[in-house]
Amino acid sequence: MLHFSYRMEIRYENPVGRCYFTIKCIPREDARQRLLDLKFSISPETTCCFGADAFGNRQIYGCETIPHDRFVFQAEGDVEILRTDYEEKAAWENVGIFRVSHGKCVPGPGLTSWYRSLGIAAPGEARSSGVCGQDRPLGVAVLGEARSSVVCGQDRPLDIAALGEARSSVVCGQDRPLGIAASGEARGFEGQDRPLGFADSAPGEDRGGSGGDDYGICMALMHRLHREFPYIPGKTSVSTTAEEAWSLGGGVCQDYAHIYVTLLRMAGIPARYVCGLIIGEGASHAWAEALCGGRWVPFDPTHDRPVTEGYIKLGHGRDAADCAINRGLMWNGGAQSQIISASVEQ
Amino acid sequence: MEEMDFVKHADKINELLARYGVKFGIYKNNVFNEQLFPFDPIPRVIERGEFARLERGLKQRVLALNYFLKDIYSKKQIVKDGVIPEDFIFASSGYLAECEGVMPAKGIYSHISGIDLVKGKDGVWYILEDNLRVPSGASYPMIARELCRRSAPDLFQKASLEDNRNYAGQLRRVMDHVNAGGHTVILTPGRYNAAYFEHSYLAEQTGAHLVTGSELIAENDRLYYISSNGTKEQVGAVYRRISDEYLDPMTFKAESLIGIPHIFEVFRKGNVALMNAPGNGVADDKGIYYFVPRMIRYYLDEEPVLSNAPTYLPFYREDMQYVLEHFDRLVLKDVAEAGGYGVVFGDSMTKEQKADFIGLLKREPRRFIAQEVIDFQDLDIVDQGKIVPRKADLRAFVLMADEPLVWKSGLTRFSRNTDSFIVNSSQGGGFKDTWVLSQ
Repeated sequence: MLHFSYRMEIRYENPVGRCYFTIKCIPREDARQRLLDLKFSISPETTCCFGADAFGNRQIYGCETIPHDRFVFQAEGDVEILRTDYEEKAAWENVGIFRVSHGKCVPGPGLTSWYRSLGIAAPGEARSSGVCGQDRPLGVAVLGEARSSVVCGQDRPLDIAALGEARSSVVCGQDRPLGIAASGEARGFEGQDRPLGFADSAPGEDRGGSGGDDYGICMALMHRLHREFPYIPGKTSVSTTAEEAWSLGGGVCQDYAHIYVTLLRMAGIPARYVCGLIIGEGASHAWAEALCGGRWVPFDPTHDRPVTEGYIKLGHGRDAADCAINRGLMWNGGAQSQIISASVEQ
Repeated sequence: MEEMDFVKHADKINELLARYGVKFGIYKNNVFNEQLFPFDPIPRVIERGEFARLERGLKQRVLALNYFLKDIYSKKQIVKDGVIPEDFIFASSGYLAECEGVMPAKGIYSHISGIDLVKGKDGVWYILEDNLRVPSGASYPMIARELCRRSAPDLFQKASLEDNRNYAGQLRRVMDHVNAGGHTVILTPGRYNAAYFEHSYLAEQTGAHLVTGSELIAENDRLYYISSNGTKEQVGAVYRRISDEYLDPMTFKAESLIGIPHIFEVFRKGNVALMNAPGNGVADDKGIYYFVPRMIRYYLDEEPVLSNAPTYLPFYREDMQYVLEHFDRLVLKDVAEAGGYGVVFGDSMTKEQKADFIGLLKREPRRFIAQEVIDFQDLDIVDQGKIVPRKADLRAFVLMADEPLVWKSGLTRFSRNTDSFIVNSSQGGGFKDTWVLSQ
């Protein structure tokens, strides 16, 4: 069982008279995780509505009508991780939308030419297992060292300047590997050595090749991305697209997830962007899920590893905007700063 | 022909239309110009039997399009069964992922459909395009008929034609049918919208309140109308005349100033009906048009009564081949454009333009459709006292309550110039009344 908490505070230079909000910070419930306990609070206090968006992400929305210069919301609770392999069977009708490029995950010239240089066959073309095989030894070499420099956690602050401050206190969970993480990594090196039954090809899987091949491509692409795209906080913002992040030459978890999702879709593998929390203290995290053998399999390109037990999924979508933790609409307010804190512990 | 009697009233009627504010606004080079929408007094006349056939075909088409929308935003069976390729769904700008899993009241997506047709010289009617988002134009023949009746009342007693003044009553029935409890409003972007006259006229005729976004508020999963004295009253149906992307700044374009924050959530919870439903753009996409006859067979197990104009999808290899071989006789349309924009005729291009266009076509085959140029019938219009022929089309209106209902009239638009095939009002043409004979 994991205990999580997430808090966002927004401070306004001038009081805000009216502010609409849509908050998506409640863990999803699916085959992999169950929400056991939840407390949610918001300040100033106001009436909230509850629902789910088109992707099934839980949302809390409403309107602040009392003038305020500080807006705070906090969610806290317990999540039970039901399956360590963390996979979810895909419903056919929910797959297609994650196959097409969209929003912040549209490849431009930079990503297109890089993708081409990787030698991954285009969708529909037959792919030999050798294509991804060549990357594997390199991926292995890079894994350990690169991760030590990773500082994780980016949310979607409205004010970038404020983010630096918020992030300075952020240390991410990657230094505290769980036992499971290790086995996940080991599995990663092997590429297609999957403990799961990939034989059952789902109806959504209409491309050539088995899910095993796709898993191998996912791993290879993740290794390459991690190797060639350095983790550099402050270069990008919440509105940066995959293509922009790539040409800036570095970024944070949102950028890794955006680029990764873009690459997977270019390879013909449906992929979705995931927003969530990770064990440790800091801010929110982002990763991606790819359709392999009819199941959504999560990968964390920021850490170059498959997702393990220490992850809590909040939402998913085509890109970060679909599952933004906070979307607000306000008048006046002036400059704003944001303080985010998140924690997950066992 | 007795309808010629109108000619002598034409100036008077146009003068009245101007006084009533029957105008059409056009944005050109970012400047808003309002111009009169010229009325031509000679009506288009459609025989009873001919219209009955149109009616059957239009009902069938709109029913199938509704089934399609319901299917696409839920199970997507038509894609799963391989009838329509996925490429034409998710990559379409009209497809809105936000609408996935949201079921509008009574499963109705397109409450008001404007279907554009032309009649070929061979006497065959062809469907040109479907408009399932915010089709405008019904008000023009409504008011023109009204004014003509006033200027020549005796003529209408003699002529056996269907009364078209019931449109507002039928529209009201459609609104009431899906109303979730509360007032019915017509939501306009405001005074500077191209169809503002229509918004105010339909509000007056249906008894709905004409409102702008700032007069509506979404609160606790309910939509309210703030009246001028500050009271809040619940709204159960919104005939919205603003496009999907501006409807709700919390769901779609954040910079929209004409929308209502969280109205989409009220709609999702089923506490207000939005007419037409958001997301309809995926069904009236010019690429999807190609597949409508297949939709009719798929959902209704019927043969289409009305034909599409012969259309080719460069997306398919053999169609691309055909398009390249017959380029000069085809008209090419950009699927993302509307209002007569993004339409080019193969034979009007210079050699260079043609080469450029073919390059673009090959790079982005999904973006275009190609159609045979239909040689459609001319209709007579009065131009400076003389009778001259002009190209004209027909926008038929289909309303959907418990079943589809075709309005026994329609908007006939004609081109401004002799050689133009483009009749959109945004391109400066005029309009006629459409008479459907009752015997």
